[in-house]
Amino acid sequence: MRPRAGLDGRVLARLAEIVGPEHVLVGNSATLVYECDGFTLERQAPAAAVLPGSAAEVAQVVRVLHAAGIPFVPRGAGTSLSGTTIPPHDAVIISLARMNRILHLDFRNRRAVVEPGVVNAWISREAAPRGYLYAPDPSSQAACTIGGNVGTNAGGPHTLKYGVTVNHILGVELVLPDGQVVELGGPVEDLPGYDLVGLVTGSEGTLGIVTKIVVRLVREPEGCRTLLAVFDSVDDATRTVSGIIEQGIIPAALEMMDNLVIQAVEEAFGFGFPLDAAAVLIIEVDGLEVGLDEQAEACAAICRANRARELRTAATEEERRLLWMSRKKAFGALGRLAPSYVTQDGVVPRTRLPEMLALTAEIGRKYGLRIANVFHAGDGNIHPILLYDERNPDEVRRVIQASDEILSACIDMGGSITGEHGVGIEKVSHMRRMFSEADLAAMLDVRAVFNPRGLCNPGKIFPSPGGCVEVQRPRRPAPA
Amino acid sequence: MTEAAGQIDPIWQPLAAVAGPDHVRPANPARDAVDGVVPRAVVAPPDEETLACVLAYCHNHRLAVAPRGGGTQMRLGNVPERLDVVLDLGRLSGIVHYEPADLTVTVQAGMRLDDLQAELARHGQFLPIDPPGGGRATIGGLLATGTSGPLRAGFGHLRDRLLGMRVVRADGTVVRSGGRVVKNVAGYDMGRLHTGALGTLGVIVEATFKVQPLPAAWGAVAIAPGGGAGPRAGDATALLALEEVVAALLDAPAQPVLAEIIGPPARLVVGFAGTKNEVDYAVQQACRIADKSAGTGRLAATPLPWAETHAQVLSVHREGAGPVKGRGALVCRLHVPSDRAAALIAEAAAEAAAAGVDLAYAAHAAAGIIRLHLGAEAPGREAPGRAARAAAQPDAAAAVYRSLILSWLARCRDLGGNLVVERAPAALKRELPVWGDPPASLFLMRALKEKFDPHRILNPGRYVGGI
Amino acid sequence: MAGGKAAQTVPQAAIPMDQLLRCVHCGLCTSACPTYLELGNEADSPRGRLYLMRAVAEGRLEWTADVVGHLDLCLECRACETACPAGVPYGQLLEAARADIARTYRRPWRERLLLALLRDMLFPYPGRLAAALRPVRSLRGALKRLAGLLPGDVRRMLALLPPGAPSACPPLPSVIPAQGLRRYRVALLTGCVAQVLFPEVNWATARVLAANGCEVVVPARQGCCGALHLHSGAREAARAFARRNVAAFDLDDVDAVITNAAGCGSTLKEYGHLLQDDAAASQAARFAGKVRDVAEFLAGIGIVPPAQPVHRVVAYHDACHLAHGQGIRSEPRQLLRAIPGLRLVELPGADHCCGSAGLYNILQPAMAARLLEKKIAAIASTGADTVATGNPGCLMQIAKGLRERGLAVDVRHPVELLAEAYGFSRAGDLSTGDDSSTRGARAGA
Repeated sequence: MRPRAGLDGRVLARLAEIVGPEHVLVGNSATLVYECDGFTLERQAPAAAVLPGSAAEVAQVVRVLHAAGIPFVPRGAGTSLSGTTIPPHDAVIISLARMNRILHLDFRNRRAVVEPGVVNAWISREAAPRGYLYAPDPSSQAACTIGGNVGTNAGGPHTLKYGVTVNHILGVELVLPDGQVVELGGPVEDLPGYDLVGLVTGSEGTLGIVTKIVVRLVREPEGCRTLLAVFDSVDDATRTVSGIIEQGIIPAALEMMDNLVIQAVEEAFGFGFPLDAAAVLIIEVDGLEVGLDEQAEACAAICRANRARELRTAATEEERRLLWMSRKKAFGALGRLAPSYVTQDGVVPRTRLPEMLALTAEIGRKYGLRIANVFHAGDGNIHPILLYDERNPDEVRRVIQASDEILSACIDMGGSITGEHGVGIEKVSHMRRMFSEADLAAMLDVRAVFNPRGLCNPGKIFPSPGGCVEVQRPRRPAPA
Repeated sequence: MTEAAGQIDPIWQPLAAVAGPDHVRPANPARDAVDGVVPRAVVAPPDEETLACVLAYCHNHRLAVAPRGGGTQMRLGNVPERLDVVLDLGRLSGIVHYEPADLTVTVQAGMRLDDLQAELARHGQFLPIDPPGGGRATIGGLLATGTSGPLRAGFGHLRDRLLGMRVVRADGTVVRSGGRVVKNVAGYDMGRLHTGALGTLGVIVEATFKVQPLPAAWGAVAIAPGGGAGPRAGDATALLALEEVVAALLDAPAQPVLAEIIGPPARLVVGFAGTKNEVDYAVQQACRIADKSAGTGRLAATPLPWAETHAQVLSVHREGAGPVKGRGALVCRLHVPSDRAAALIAEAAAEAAAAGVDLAYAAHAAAGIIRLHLGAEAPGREAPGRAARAAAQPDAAAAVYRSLILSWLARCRDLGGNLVVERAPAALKRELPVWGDPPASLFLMRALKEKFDPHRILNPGRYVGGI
Repeated sequence: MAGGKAAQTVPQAAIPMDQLLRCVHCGLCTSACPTYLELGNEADSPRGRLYLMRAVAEGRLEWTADVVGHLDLCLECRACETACPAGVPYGQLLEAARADIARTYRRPWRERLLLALLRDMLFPYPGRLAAALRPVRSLRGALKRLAGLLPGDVRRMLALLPPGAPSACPPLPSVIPAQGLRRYRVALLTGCVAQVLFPEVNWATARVLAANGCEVVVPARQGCCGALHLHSGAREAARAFARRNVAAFDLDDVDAVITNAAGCGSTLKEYGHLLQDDAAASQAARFAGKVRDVAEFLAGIGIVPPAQPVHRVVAYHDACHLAHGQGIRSEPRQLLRAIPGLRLVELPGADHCCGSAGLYNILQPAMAARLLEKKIAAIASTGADTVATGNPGCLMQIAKGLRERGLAVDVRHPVELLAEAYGFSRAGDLSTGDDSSTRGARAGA
């Protein structure tokens, strides 16, 4: 290990000079709240937290930390579900929460320029009066920040039709881990050169800290139809999902909630979900009014063919809003059923959903755990939520084992260990199962270019420090 | 083997040993040269493993490699610094995995787009990309060149459909990223890094895409100056009027899947896809918007059959229009904010006219990407233009083109954009900023190149900043 | 801190752990929190505060000045409860934590003095408050000149006082008969601060209720609701007030207990919880069940359409304890829309706290000022000539902000506008008094 000068008084004084003393947080009571994010299975308080107010301040802070050899971790709203912002013990958290201004809205070119601490939902809120929106809508969109969204390449229910974060980012300003500031991409499409924006998006803060983002704005659809389909078996619901995709219908969103989730959200929001249903699907189609009824009926027919016992259409905008709020806040609502939970984020081909859900239920039985399911069915992106009590060490152990089995099954079915939450600290050990050493070595080569000393968000994504991974050679030796 | 000079190149034998003798041949200068640089051999590996071994061999012996798919875009980029081996991917041309019910397909890089589309169409699906160069292009080539077509307005860029990729690194290591599922954030998105990288970081051998159900209906509308008191086609006024229509269309409920300003003469072509009802509605909407544009001059909207219209748009992108058609000496691509595209075309047309150079244009109006074809000569003019006069003096002609390109590059720069010379005679290319201004992040790109291809064997010199 | 084992000094039961564990750390509350949005510090967010409470309850932290400071900075606007999917009873947890702090943490003397003066001696007692204000008002000119010499807390309190002479409304009679057929009989809570500073709002409430067929009784023995005490950790005092009020109202005799103060209303509705282990528990629960905000009640019974046009452009500000504390958002808007001639415009961030929050604007002036500045900017952006809001604290705070910015925007309780629409022009018609002075924020007043 490289010797570290550590976070001494001199470094702290320098940081305070840069951001102002009130924005440097040290001491147990100040840093304790930064010891975890939305993922609570692991906790580690940072050595300090710094709250810069501008890109220039971020760059200066990074330069100071880089010079002192102190690792640092960028953090937005701290809603990560994979522990992406959990610091190593000697690290400094760089919180972007104060950089929360929307800098520019350009409707003519359908762009917005925002700071990283801007909350996802604010962009659509500001653009709505002009009939535009920012399409990626992670369930935490009311709180999560665009900087964090870029970090994890966040998805959401409507990404089925509109694409994930990377499809909506045109450019970023990036503070490299040595403090250099560089513009990647820009307000203009397809600028020549490597697609570094695409690389940085989803890199979980391991390539630098994003301090400005150019996002696309999308025209609001003219109308939509939101259906709620109620099923007496999970299997029927998942078969409906496969059926819709197979028919070549791409709804704007296609979401599933199982009985446990229905119980929780009904208690929380009182939408009127049938409490005895095994599963419900939320199916939304959007676009031109002239085509909507036809699209909705096509989906409804598939539901009926798969024994949906009831089909409801949201009659008013208010009803639709409540339905979506119930769905998007479902994770949190599960706090009503158990003191803690961990959400998995596996992906399987959509045709394998029925099989995967059955397997999840079996794993739950095997480990004696309650597993709730609420997920982006149309994308094959499952979110089994394992309920537990963090005060019960044995239960914690079983949760980890069951999670592991679920993710392994996703890999075996040709899927992925994460569809939108990121690898973070949580799934680091699964990366070797998904990728070969050579695959990982290529990614580590990228990290070595941006983050050669590994100071920026260490311990995330990759199972071992850069350079230690052996590169696999081609099987047939090349003649010398 | 037709050995022109009758001598045996020392690399043939080892290459034949690695790739198999049937898969190596000497280059044909007419077909295999890249910007006039003739390779020493053309290797067409039969499979990924062989390809990996060929690359490892080249890596170990510092042989410069140019990967090639359909060969439709070999003129893109700087003149190669050096070239030993053209790596023909034509034999890696199969579908690896196609699950229509999942709407995903995994194909080998050498598969031609036409062949893939034919297979997808059997299941009512397609990959929504319409390269101007035509369906002869291969999947790997389309990815490596970052090609897009007019349909990007409705379906996005090919990279937005990419789910996973297999790449052979310069040293022959095969690496995989992404996967076969439609959402996946495990690890870096390496596929994006290789998309548009012109094969300079590795050779793409396989890619997985999210495919699209074929729309039930397509429709197109051409909007052009309607005579009378309105603007004349070819006018700057006409272009600006069309730009207003584009803005109104993008702000309207029915979003076009294609919105192209082409000319001369200046006209706007918009296309829609969906159910029959939706397309009918959208076509009416487009006509209404065009009719309402009286403030900027009368425009006439004409509904047109989709297939011919789409083909015509592609042809303007490919070979220009009007006097330039099929006779372009130079093609360049301008990237600007979309609301400035029409104004920029008008300025470029005026400048070209003043310089005596014929100009044709086709622009992805919603994306702000303009393709300009510059004529080689100005035939039939009573007073020959400068370019025509200069034709006798190649240096003078080069100076005219150069000054135009530099002027347009400056305009793009002012707007936060950039310019790419897609096609030009090799001699002229050496005089031109083929990739426009180097990006601010060039130092990172160079460092990536150094990591991924330390011996600079992959397309050396051809890419941005001389990478 | 020396030797102080937190586990010993803080009883485990002080903050209910099972309620704390409902927080699953999802963070959805953060963007709803006014102080977090201003400061960006996780410890000044609801999730952070809950984390601190839990750390204290588990003995990882103690109530030090830093930790207490983060809890003190909470407005208790409860916007986080609206945002929280897990149903964490944040307000109740905060009150429990504040009670625990009051028991175990010794505050600096100035804070103690202020609380004792304002919360314990002055505000809950309308008589004392009115007596205290009389000389202040008459000496306002002199005090202004002396402003530099006064302590900051006193200056801030003076700045909150409405300008001009106090309204000369007489006290409400004990019964106001219904106009026309009597449909309901309701009891009115007159409040303490409101009664002194905004007597015309009580009159307007009574008149509007009467105009809608309600006989209004004003129980004599009622007192302060106890909200200020509850929010600042003086739980026992709050319980005493609650007991007194529960006893003061004859619940069998009335259909509802009406309040026009959002802050009081949300506390009154929680009497059941507050007195759950008290002898008066069942009475308290019954009382809580009858409490209605005036807007909630009127919207519920359906009002007689008012006839008099009120030509105003009105922006409605959601008082935190109405919107987040009681979930009352659409009702006041619905009433305002029923007024002919009145145009209701949407106020951006209508449910963001204005910074008033009980004693908050006196105890946490810097944060209160930041929030007020945002609120005033939002109001100015609407072009409204009137702001309507259903809480006396907000009325004072917003009026102060408008005065300081020199904006000629009137500040009214929604029932005042309704009263106008029923033909009661200002205080003159509302009561038997003859005063027609205007309140609000006339520029230069």
